Amino acid sequence: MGASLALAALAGCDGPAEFGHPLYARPRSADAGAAGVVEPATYATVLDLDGLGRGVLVRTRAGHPIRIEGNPAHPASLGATDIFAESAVLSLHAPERSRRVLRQGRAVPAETLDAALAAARVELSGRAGAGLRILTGPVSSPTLTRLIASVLADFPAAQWHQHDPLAEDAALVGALRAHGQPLMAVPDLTRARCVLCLGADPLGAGPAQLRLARDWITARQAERQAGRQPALLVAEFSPSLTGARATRRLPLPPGEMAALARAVATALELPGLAATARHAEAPGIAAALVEAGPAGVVLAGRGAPAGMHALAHAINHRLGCVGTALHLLPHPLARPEPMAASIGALAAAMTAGAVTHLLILGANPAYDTATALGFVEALRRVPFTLHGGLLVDETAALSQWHVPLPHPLQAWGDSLAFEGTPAIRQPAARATAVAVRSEVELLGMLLGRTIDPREAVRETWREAWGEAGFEARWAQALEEGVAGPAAQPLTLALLPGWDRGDAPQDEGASGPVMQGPDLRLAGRMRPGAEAHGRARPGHDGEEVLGSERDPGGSAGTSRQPAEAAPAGSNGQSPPALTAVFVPDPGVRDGAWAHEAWLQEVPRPLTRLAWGNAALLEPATATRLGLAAGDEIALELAGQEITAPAWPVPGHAPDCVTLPLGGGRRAGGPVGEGRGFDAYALRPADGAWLASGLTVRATGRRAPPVTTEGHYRLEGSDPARAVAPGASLPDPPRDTSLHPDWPYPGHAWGMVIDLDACIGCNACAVACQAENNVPVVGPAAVARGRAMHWLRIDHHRRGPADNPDTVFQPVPCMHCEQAPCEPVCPVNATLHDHEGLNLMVHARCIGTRTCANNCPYKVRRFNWADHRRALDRPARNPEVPLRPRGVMEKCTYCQHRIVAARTAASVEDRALRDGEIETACQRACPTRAITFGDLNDPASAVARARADGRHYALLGELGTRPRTTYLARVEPDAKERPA
Amino acid sequence: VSLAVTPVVEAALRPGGWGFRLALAGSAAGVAVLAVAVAALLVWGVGIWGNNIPHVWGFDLIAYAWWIGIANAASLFAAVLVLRRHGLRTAVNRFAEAAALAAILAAAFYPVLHLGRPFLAQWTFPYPAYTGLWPQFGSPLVWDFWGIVSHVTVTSLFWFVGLIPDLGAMRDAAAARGRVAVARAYGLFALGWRDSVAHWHRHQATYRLVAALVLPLLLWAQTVVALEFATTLVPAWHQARLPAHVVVTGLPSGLGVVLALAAVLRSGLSLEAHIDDRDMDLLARLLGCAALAAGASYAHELAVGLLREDAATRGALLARIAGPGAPAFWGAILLAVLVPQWLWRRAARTDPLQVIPIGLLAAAGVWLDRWSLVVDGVRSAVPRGVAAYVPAPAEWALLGGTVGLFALLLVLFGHAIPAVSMFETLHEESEAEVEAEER
Repeated sequence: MGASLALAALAGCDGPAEFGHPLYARPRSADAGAAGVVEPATYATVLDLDGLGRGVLVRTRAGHPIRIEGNPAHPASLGATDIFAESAVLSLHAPERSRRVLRQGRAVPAETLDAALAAARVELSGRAGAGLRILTGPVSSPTLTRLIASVLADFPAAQWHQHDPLAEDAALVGALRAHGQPLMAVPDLTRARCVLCLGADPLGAGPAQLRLARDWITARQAERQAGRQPALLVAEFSPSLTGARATRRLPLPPGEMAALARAVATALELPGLAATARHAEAPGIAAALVEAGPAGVVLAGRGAPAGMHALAHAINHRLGCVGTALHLLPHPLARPEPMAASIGALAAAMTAGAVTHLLILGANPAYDTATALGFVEALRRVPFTLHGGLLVDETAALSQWHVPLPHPLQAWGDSLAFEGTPAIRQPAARATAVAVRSEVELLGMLLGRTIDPREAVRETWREAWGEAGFEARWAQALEEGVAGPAAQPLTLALLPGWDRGDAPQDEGASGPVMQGPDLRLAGRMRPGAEAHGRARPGHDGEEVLGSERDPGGSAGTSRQPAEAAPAGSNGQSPPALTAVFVPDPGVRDGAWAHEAWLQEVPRPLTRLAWGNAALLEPATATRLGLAAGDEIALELAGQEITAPAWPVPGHAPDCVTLPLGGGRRAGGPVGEGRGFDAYALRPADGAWLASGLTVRATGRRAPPVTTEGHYRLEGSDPARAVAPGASLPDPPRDTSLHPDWPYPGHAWGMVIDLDACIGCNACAVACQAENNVPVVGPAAVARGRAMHWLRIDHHRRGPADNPDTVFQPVPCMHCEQAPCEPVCPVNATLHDHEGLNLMVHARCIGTRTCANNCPYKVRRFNWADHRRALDRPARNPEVPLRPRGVMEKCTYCQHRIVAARTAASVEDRALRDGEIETACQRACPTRAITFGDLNDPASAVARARADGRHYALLGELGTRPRTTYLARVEPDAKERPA
Repeated sequence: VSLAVTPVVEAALRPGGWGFRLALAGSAAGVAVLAVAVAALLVWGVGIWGNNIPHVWGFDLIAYAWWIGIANAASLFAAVLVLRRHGLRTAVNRFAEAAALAAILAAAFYPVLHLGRPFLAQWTFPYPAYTGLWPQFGSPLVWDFWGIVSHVTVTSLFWFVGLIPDLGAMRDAAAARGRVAVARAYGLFALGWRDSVAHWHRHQATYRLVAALVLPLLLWAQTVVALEFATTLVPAWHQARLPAHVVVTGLPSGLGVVLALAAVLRSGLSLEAHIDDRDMDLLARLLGCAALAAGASYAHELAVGLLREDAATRGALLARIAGPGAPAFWGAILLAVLVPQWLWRRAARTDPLQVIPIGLLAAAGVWLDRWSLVVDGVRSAVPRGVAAYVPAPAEWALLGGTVGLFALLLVLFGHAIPAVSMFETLHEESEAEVEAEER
C-alpha cells in the first residue's frame, strides 16, 4: 500500500513543469549522431565556476546526463571544457547528494520548512526585515539578483552578503583606484605579444581559462608561422600553469614581486608614480613591454596587493594596450564588492547578535572562511539559520535547517560569463528528490510567493528583451546556449592619484580605508539592475580590505625573508616564511572536494592526488632540513596545523604555498579528510599572503599521495623542443621483420601538439568520464594503480631552481608494430583493419604481459572489480564496464568512430575529416589534440604529421606509434628577458 | 631383500618419530597457509598483491622462476647421474628427483594463480573451443604453458620410472609382513614388476631414455621462463644472454636445496651408510662449481652490460647494481656465488651444520637474483614517490605456502617410499661382490 502510494507520488511528478528536452529545447542537430545510432538528446546550458558561467553541452541518455562538453557557441568555452565542468555529471549522480530537508540534522518533510519560512516571513515583516541576512556565493545571475533585490525591497532592513574564498578583492580595489569603477581587466591574448604576469595565472583554472588559453595558443600559432613567439613573462611565488608556459619565468618571493612591479613601472617612467624601485630584471622586462607597445599587457593576480593591481592598470595605460590587447569590462558579478569585507561584516553582525535569520544559499562559510574570522562561533549565535546546498556540508551541520538545492544540471537559472556573455541554464535532468528547493523557490518563500524557477528566469529575460519576439528569442537562447552578446568594453582614463606607494600605512596590516566611489552605484545596467541599488552591501564605506597585506612589501631587491618570527618552542627561532594561499588546482576552494575525478587526477606541477601539501622551494626545504613527505607543523598567528612538506622545483624562496580546499570535515566520504585545511591559517580578512609563518618538522612522515615518477619512460627524450620556425631532424628509417599492415580504408591517427598543451587535465578527466574509467582511491593511486587511460607526464628541464616544465599527454600510442600484441597468449589485444590497437576485454585472462611490454606504460589493469561503483546513471552506456582481472586502455574513443561511421553510412556519404572527435580532443581548450584519417592527405592529422615538429615518442624502438607529437617551440631567446 | 637395504625399507615404513611428526606438522601448517592464500586470491583477485603498473609481476614470477630453477638443477643433476652411471647416483638421485618434482608442483601454482582471471587459464591450451581462436603461438606465455606441462610430465616420468623396481621391493617387503593393503598399494604402482632380467633390461633402457629427454627439457623450461622476460622491451630484460644467465644461475639453488636435503635426510633417516661422506663431498663440490659458473655469468653480465651495451641497457643495469635494488643484486652474488666457495674446504663439505645453511643460502641468493631481475629490472632510477613494488602479506603467504607444500611432499615421500634407490644400492653391492671374487 505504502509502496503503491509512493509510486503514485512519483508518477505525479511526471508533469511538464520541470523538464528540459523535449519541451523546451530542440535537439542540437550538430551533435546528432556524435555518440551513437540512437540519437542522444543534447542540451545547451551553462555551468558556473566562481559565479561565472562557461557554456556547455550536456549529452544525455535515457534522461541521464552522461557527458559534459564545451559549447562552441559560448565565448567562455569555444567548445572546450575544464575539469570542473566535466565532473558535473559525477556530482549529479553522487550518492552523497543531500536529498532530505533537515532540521537540527534530522530529516523532516519539506512542508515543515515551507511553514517555517512562512512563519519567519511573518516575524520579519513586523520589523522591516531587521535581522535578516542572506549569504550567497558570488552571484552573476540576473534572475537571482532580481529576486534578492525583491527580498531586500520587501525587507528594507535586510542585507545581502556574498562570500567567495577565491575572490580577487585586491583586483577590485586596484581597479577602483585606477579607474574608479569595479571592472574586470580581461586581456585579449590573440593580440597581446608581450604579457607580464605578476602572480596572474591566465592559463590556470578559472572561469576565463578556456577562452584565455584558446586565445593564447591562437597568438602563439600565428607568431610561429612568422618564426616568432609572443613573450609571456611570469613572476610568481608558486609554480602555476601559466608559469609553466612562460617564455621567461621568475620565481620571486612576495617582497621581491612588489619591488619588481614598481621597478618595471619606474623603468617605464610612469607618470604619477609615488615611489620608485629597482630590480635587476626590470629594465629588460620594461624594454620588452615597450617594444610590444599596445600589444604589451601587465596582469596582476592573486597575492598581488591592490597597489600592484593599480600599478598594472597604470602600466597598461602607459603601454596603450587598453582597448586592444586588454579590455576593461564591466564586472560580471551583479554586485562586485570585496568579498572578505562582506563576509567579515556579516560575521561581526552575527557575533554582535544583530542577525536573527540567516539564509546561506550555495555557500559553505563554516568551512571556507578563515578560522580566525570565527564564523562557526558566530553561526551558533543566530537563532534561525537555513543552509541550502548540494551536500550536507560543514555549514549544513551547523545550521538549524538544511535544504537540498537542485544540481546545476537540474535547475533553471542564468549566469554571465567572465566577459559578460549571458546564458540560460536549463535542466538536463529531472530533480531526483522531492525535497529539493532551488534558491529561487527559497527566496520566493521569503517573499510569500510560490515562484516557478523557469517562470522566474523567463520573467527576467522578458524584462530585458521586451515582449515582442520573446518566445523566439527564448527558444533560440536555449538552443544556442547563449542569451546575448558580451559586455561592451569600457573606455576609461586613468584616475590621478592611483598610486599610493607601498607605504606601510597603506599596505600594512591596519588596512586602508576604501576611498573609491560607493560600490552600491557600481552595478551596470542589466536585466534586473533597476532594483540593483537596493541590493546594497551590508557595510557602508568602511571595508577593511583583505588582500591588502604585502608582507615584506618594501621597495627594493632584497631577498630577505620577513622579519623576526616568534621564537619556537624549542628555544631556537624557526625561520619566518610567508604563507601563500592558492586555490587547489583540483578542488579549488574545497567546494569540489566531493568530486572523485578531481581528487584522483594528479594536480599539475605537484602530481599530488587525493589531498594537498605545503609546497616550498627545494632549497628552502633543504635549509629547513625537510624531505618530501615529511610532516611539518605550520604556525601562523597562534594557529597551528600539520601538513606534508612537498618541495616543488621552481617555487619561490622563503615562502610556503598552502593550497586551499583540503581537510574537509563534512560533505561526503570522497572529500572528507583529504589533505590539510589551510583556512585554519588564513588571516581573517581572507588575504592571499600572510607573513610570519614558522615551519618546524614534527619528526613524523606524512607522505602525500602522488604519481610523480610513476610512469617514467625509458629511452630517448620524450618531450622534444625546437626553436621557432625550426624542424626536428628526420628520424632514421626503421625497418621491421614484420610485414606492414594494409589499410585500404581509414587509418586512424592522433597528433598531440606539446606546444599547445597547458597541462590543465581537461583531457584526462574527459577521458575518464567518456570511458567509464574507475576511480580507485588514494591508497591504490599511491600504489601505482590509477586507471587513467590518458595521463599527463611532466618533464622538467633546465636549471633545478627554475626548470622548464613540459606537459605531455600520453594516451595509448596504437603502435603499428605494437609490442603488446605478440606477447598476449590469448589474442586479447590485436590490430584492427583501421590501425587501432584493440583490447578485447572478454578474451583477456590477465597475464599483464602486454603491460610489461608496453614501453609507454599506458595499459591499465583492473586490480579490483570497479563495475558496481561505475554502474550508475552517470556511466556512458556506449563503453562497456571491465571486470576484475582484465587489462584496459585508450581505444581512441572507438565508440565514437563507430557512431560516426554509422551516421555516415546512414546518410550514404564518406566520413568527413574532423567528424570524429575523441573525448580528449573535444575537451582540450588549446586544441592540442588532432585526430583523423592518416590515409587522407588533406586531413588535419595528416597535415600535422607533415609538420617539421613532428616526432614519435620513443620512436627508436620501432613501434611506429599512431599517436605522435609535435615538439614544443622554445625560444632561443630563452636566456634574455623577452 | 639384502641386509644392506633393510634400513632403507625400514626407514620408509616406520611410523615416524617426533622429528618426523614435527616436520609433518610444520609443513602441513605451511600447506594450510597456502590454502588460505590461494582461497583469498581466488576470492579477491590479484589486487591483494602488491603489484602495480609498471610492476605487473613480482613475487609470482620471482617464485616461479626460482622454483623452476630448483627443479631444474635437481633434475639436471639426477639425469646427469643416470646417464653417466655415476656412483653418487645410488645415494642421492631419488630424493633429487623427488625434490625436482615437488619444486615443479610448487612452481606450477604461479602461472595459473598470477592471472587476473585464473579460472580462464585453460584458454592458453590449444583447444579453440572457448574463444574460437588458437592461442597465439608467438607469445612466450604459450611457450611457457608448454614448458611447464612438459616439465611436469617428464620430471614425474623420470622419477616414477626410477621408482618402479623399488616399489616392487616395497610391495614384497610389505607382503612378507602380511600387510596386504599396503602391499597392494605399492603393487598397483609397481606395474607388475617381477625382477626378471627382461624387466631389468627394459627398465634400464626406458630409464636412460627418459633421462636423456630430461636434459634438453630442463634447458628449455628454464629458457622459456627467461624468454618471457627477454622478449619484452624492458631494457633490463631485453637481452639475448638472459636464458643462459637464468639457467646457469639457477643451478646453485637446486644443488643447494639437494645438498641441504641430503644432509637432513642423512641424519633424519639414519642413512649415513647410504649417503656417505664421499657422496656429500661430491655434491658439495658440485655446488661450488655451480656457484663458480654463476659467478662467471654475473661477471659476463657486468662486463657486457657496462662496457658494450647501449645506453638504455646500461642504465637499467646501473639502476640494478647501484639503485635502490642494489642490495638484492649484490646479495645474490654474495649468497649464490661467494658463500658456496666455502665448500672448497674439505672439512666444511661433510659437516651438516655448514652444508645445510650454505645450501639454503645459495637458494636464497638465487631468489634475490630473480627479485633483482623481475622487480629492480623494471624499477627505474629513483624519482621520488615512485610506486615501488612492495610484496603484500598475501604474497608472502603464497611463497611460504609453496615452501610448505614442497616440504610436505618431501616429508611424505621420505615416509612412504624409499628415499634412496634400493635397486641401485643392491646393484652396487653385487658389483662389489663380483669385483671381490675376481680379485
